[in-house]
Amino acid sequence: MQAQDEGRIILINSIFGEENFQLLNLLPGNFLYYPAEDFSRSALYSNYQAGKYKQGAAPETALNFGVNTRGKYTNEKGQVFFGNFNISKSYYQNLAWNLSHELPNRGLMADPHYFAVSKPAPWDNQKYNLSGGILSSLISDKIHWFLKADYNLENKYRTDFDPRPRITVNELDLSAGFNFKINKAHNLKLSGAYHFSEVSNDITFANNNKNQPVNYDIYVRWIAGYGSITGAMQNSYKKNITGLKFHTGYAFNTPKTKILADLVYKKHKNITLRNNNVLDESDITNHFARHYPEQLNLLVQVNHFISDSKVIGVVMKSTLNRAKNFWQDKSGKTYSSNSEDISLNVNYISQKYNENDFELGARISLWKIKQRDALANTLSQYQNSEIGLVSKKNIIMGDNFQISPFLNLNVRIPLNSNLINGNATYLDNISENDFAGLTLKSFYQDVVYPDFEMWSTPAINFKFGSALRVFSSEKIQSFFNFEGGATKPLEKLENFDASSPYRWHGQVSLSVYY
Amino acid sequence: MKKFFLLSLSILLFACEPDNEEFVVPIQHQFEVTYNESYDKKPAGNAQVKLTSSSDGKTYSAQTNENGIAEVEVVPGTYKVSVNRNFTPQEYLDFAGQNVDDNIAFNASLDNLNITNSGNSLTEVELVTGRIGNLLIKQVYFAGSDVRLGASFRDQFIEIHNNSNELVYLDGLYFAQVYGSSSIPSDIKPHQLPNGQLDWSQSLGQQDPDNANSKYIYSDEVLQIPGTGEDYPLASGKSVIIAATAINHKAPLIVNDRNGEPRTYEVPEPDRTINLENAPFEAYFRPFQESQGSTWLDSDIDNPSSVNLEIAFKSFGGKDLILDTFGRDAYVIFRDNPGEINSWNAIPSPAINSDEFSESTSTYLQIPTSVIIDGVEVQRNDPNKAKPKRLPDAIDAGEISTISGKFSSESVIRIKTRETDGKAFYQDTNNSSVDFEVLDHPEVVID
Repeated sequence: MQAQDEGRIILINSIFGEENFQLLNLLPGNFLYYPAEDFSRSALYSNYQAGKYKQGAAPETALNFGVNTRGKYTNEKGQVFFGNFNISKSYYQNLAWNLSHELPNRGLMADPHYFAVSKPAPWDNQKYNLSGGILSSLISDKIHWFLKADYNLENKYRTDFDPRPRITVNELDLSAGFNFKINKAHNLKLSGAYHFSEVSNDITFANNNKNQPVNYDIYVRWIAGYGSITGAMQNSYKKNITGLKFHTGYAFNTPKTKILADLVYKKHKNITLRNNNVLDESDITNHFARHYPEQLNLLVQVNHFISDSKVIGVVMKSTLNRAKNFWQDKSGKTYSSNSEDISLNVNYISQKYNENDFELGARISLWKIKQRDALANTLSQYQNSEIGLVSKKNIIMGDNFQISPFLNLNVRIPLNSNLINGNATYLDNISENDFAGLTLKSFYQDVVYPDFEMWSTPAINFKFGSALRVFSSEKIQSFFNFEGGATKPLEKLENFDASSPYRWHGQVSLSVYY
Repeated sequence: MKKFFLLSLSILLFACEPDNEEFVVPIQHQFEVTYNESYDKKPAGNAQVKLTSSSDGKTYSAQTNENGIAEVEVVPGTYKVSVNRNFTPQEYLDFAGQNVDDNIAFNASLDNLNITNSGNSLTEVELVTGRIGNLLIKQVYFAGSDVRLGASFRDQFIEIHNNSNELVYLDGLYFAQVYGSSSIPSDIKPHQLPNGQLDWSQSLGQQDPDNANSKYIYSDEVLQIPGTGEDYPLASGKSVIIAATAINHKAPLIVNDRNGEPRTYEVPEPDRTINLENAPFEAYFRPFQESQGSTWLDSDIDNPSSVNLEIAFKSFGGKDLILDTFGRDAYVIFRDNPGEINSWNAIPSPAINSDEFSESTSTYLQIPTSVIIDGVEVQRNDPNKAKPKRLPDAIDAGEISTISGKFSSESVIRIKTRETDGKAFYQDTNNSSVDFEVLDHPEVVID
């Protein structure tokens, strides 16, 4: 499919290779133009993060370990097979305010409707992912097609304390697309995808007598936005999520320069049913809420080979998310969220001995989040810029031993922020037995205020580590990787347990490429 | 470059689309409060309007102006509404031109009021004043105590109080548990009222459909204090307890079960429960159960020194006086001429149609509200699981629940207004939301 004298991007033992493979896996038609070596990799990995500098609905500690196998293979007919298989197990400690299957990202829950209690507890989770596809020519090399399937199964359990949710997530994505060759260098891409997932959450109590409003730290409440908290309908729910994705793109492909430009539009419809035993799921009176997230994504990747062994890469990503909900009992839209993220990465790669010997990258990004809960009169928005540098160098220590230390430094600088809390007066005057009010007060104290402060004050994040090539032969290479790092605010905080909290992480893995 | 510019422009347009359209926001809702026809439907100024959200228990309050109008800003949703206007004797004289000895209270309540952006923005409310009786239901201990550590539902009781200045005889006094819907369904059935309560006008055999839901209540169990007229006096300012079982519940209960085998109900934490061995009245159902060929509760034992109440009517399957520990209940006390109760109608639930009706169908005694001396509406402590009201506003326009729910050892008791010469007097405005408070532990005083 590519001339043998073309320069190649190497995915093995590469900081940028990992990111590139993930982008390729999202839009597999790009495998056609991406000058990546075939590879197969299996890895055992474990990572751990802990610390008080965290979002209110995120766990205080998280331990993950798992097995991952992925690869890309091109056969003699030029057909590309790609796939990923992952099994992971994770344990959380002290996860509060979140009985959902999701964790917040930059203070935003992907779906704002979920059960919650303020009492933290451990969780025991497992996740299986299987994805794979094929990319092949249809008419000589003028038209190519691809098919891809992605299946996720996830189980999450809150194990030690009431309430005890049992969450099951089943997700299926099917995608297909075509690539059209206009001439030797210019190409067009079109693809589409269908998404379906089902989430069920069934909550039990070891002592159901305690599930009373007076015990408001464990009494199950329903979060319906960002400040709207209501009673649970029942102690179970089910979500049906369907979605469509449309993609169009352009590829410029010469031996020296590869340009990939892709525009992706994705729209989902998340229906939350009042319990997981609803018989007629199409009856809207059985819906608690409907949530409509949309995403528009523009991705431009440029790889230019300065020479056979030197590559300059530029990646521009722009993602816009917008979501609104319809709360059935309120007969209208009560919550909306918007997020925007634009980033520019410039990378330099120097290759030696068929590896990325030296990697240097600079990144600048601008992102903002806005969420508004109209019924709670609460609006939270913050805008941040981030500047980062990353570098890696291979150092050969012997015939079969090599170290590849890397350093990644990232600084986040808030640009502006605004929090409007229309509940403030109410929260200051809650009566002794107003348990709904006391719950709401805890939510603002534990989630809204700390999250807003976290994302509206500057922070620094650094990571360092190394890959150790412990064995290398013509067919097999194995690496032991370790990494550590921390994130810390650059100002004193008021809404956290400590005025200078931090969060650290560590990771080890053993990867075998074959 | 031009293509990239166009794409960026479309992204920008996507981003700039306003998100403030169609939002449901808190809305203004008006209440127009008037007195009832007896007072020429005059506007009720200075009335307190309280809304409680059925979904989360959040409350909103407002006061009517001189035109009887109150405005409140609320989140759209379903609400329980209570309206209350109290008069001192002087205020009542100025208002109605009548001299009275005690405060007069006017009340009204609405269940399941749905307030939406698109719905009616005005709700009319009519206040009524209830009968202020000499006897009150002073305390109800329906929650029971911990099932494993206490006495479960065995230690339940109600307490009757003489709130008058005269001695009152309890002989012939009836106590009834009021029957009705135990929850508000998400979709109202044809046999239910808009608030989710049973529409008794549709019951088979209903003889007064026009007044079926306003001038009667319906009971599945009526007990009566025995006596010939002056056997059981109750002094002014004093109370009596009617126990489900008049024993010391703090002690382990050793009984013989239905097979004659000994059985012990342990009480590991006696402080959770109470001693009712000196309660003057109790409900002992075993003779009645045996007469019906039914089983009985082995824990329902007879205390010879406690007077057993008589069973005047019973379609409830309870094998003892069992109050709903959740609070899905209402209670009344009433009197009528001897034997009059036997002439009252007993009808099936309106959910029963003629095809489903048989001799074994449960029926409910139709009690005229005109005979009722006092009533108390109790409620679940979880507003999200509330039941619709069972008592008309003239009897009880409010409701009271425990804080910690079933088996919590909590009781509900009227607020004491004064105490003179060892006599206690309690608040009675026919609104248990304001007349009652919650005790961590029942108050058991037996003279």
